[in-house]
Amino acid sequence: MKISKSTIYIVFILVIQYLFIIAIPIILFNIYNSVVFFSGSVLFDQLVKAIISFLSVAFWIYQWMWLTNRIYRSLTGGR
Amino acid sequence: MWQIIVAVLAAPFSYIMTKLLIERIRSSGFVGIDIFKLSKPEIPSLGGIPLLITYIFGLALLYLIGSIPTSVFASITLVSIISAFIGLLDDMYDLPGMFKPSACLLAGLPVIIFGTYIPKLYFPFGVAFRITYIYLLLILVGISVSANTVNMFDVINGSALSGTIFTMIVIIVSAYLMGGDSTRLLPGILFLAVLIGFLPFNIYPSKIFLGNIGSLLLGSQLALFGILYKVEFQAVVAMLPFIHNSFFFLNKVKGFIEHKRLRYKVTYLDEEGLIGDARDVNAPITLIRLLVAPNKMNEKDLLFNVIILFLVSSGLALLSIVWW
Repeated sequence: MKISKSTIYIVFILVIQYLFIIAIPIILFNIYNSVVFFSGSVLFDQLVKAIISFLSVAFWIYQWMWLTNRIYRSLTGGR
Repeated sequence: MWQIIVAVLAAPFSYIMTKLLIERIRSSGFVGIDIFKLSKPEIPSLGGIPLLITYIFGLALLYLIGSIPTSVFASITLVSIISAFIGLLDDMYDLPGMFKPSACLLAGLPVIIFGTYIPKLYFPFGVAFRITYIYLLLILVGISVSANTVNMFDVINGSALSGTIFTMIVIIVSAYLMGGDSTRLLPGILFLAVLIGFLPFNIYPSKIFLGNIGSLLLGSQLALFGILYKVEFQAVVAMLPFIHNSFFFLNKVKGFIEHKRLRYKVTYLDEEGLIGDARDVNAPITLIRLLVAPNKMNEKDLLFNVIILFLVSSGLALLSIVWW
């Protein structure tokens, strides 16, 4: 039994996602604690923060899929 | 100490219960085809039945000796029974694709009803979010997603079970290292022991399959213990291989659909018994497909590489405790 080349690539993908899972909450936490988007309205302020959170997660998922597709093409010789 | 012994004794009981029920399940006609074997043998399914019986019995015993509070006992028991029952219905009646994820939303209700949660999410470096109402939604969605994610990765002998065992070890070790009353870990230790007792029958070459009853049970417990022990972050990281598989499935297929229901081939078995990438552009890039993309592999080697991935994700999850 041996570790295949694709496993090494997938480990790389997982490590990148791990770094994203750590980094995104830290960035969001700091933004939420230091920036008030709508000083006159708590509701709009929270709405903007929710949108930022959603976009952050969407970006994370997008790069995960992009990275995996790239690696798949690389493993299959572009087929 | 003796309470841990009670929990750990679930392993031999799980083994014995599975051994006793395998042929009964086969004779009841609940079998699945082992598609990655050349001979295409029929393997008894519904492995979740001996798992559930041993687990619930063990939980009841722990409750009766006063090791777990009523709310925790009720929460775990009901989440287990609901998710397993949904899986059993799908095993018996082969229900439409959206049934399992939708119905599994109900499995999270006991956690909310019995209040066995803290609506705060913790991350490394002291980051925490108090999300009182969103957390309730996360409980329902999280348990359903986790159950179905494990279900979607039950594709080769032992893949779902081995991943669940690694994730449970991470959950228990993380919870222990976080501190607090260690007796709260008993249900988790019990569940892990039940899985270990079942392992010899499900690992390659499988003598019994989990069935939807088993895989939904396993997945729901991972999310549940992540919530109960406040180690959601570690549980998600340990489950990264499961999540990776699901993302691509959902992206292409646009739904929680089992492999056997797909209209296109993701992988295939060649005449030498090696599993290869079907190279269908319409098929999702599942984890198994990605693993066999450059070269075909036999099922045993494939399982070995899957275990390597879970070892890595488990290591990353435990590493995060350093930065807690």
